[in-house]
Amino acid sequence: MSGNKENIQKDRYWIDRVLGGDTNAFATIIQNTEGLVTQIVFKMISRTEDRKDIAQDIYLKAFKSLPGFRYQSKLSTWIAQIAYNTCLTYLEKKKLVLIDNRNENIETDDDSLEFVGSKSVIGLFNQTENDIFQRELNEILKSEIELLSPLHKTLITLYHNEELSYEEIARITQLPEGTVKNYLFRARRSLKDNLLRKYKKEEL
Amino acid sequence: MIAEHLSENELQQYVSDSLHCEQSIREHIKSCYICKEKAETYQILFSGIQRQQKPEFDFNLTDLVIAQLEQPKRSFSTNIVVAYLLSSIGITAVLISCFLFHEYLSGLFIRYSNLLIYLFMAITAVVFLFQCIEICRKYKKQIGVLNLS
Ligand SMILES: [Zn+2]
Repeated sequence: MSGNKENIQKDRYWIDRVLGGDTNAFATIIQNTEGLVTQIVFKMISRTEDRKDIAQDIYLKAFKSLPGFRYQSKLSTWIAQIAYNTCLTYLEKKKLVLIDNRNENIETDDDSLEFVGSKSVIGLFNQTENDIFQRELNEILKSEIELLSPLHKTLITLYHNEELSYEEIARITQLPEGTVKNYLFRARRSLKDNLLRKYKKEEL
Repeated sequence: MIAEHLSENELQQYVSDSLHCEQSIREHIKSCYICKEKAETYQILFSGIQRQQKPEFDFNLTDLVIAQLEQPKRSFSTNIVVAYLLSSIGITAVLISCFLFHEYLSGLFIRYSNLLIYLFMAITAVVFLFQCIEICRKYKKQIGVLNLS
């Protein structure tokens, strides 16, 4: 709780300086939140050439709306929400899908996967000290995450990499907490299934 | 202990937060090697996701944004300079005309002092009214900006 208070105080300090006309203070705000915003932009927008404009747009919007910030969340969460909304508008404009379940079908219970899960993959994973294997797994996982829909990719990243709470993620995406949990469950399961499928293929 | 094997949801719960998940789930994992292995697969997945490199832009975002913020600020300050210039010209003009016509004006003031006071009050009232309208408009505009956010 005291950490939370400290965060609010820090946010208030920088916001007051920006509102007082100190543009350099906004530079600090950008630097403090850029990591989170970059994650959202990379996961939501696959076209590399569009990311630059979108990232700038996010911070220009944040600057303009800063007088309206009411401290109902951390500043970083608020800016992440702007980032998510900006990306969402982009996807809608380009008629791109936010959630696509074609590659993420988890309804079918594949028994052969369970077999792979419990035998060969674990067999492989027992040598996890092996760096080469780790690197290979990282690469496979990277491309598997890339195959997820923008929303699932974003949720996975916010939860596992940015270590945000369900509540914060719900605020950023403006989805009910239950929906966030449900989507996360599906995304993890389809990642796990695809990973196992991949290893099964390589075995054959 | 749960008699059936754990569901995918329960497995994920266990791997996400083994300390705070239900006791029955923990007990099942302890005694069932099938579910334990499944949980290990998720464990590997989770730590694999956490090891993913953080993306970075290949440009300096801060510099790009700050450069765009400073432009409107500059035009704002030139606006202020222009406003000051115009108002000082206006004040100078009034002072010069007062100086040139002071004899005529003082004559007027003595003869029609009541009339002048009424005129002065009327002008003040009109100016005050315009100021109020302007403040009202500005306030509405700013509230509009806040609502937008
Ligand atoms: Zn079991």
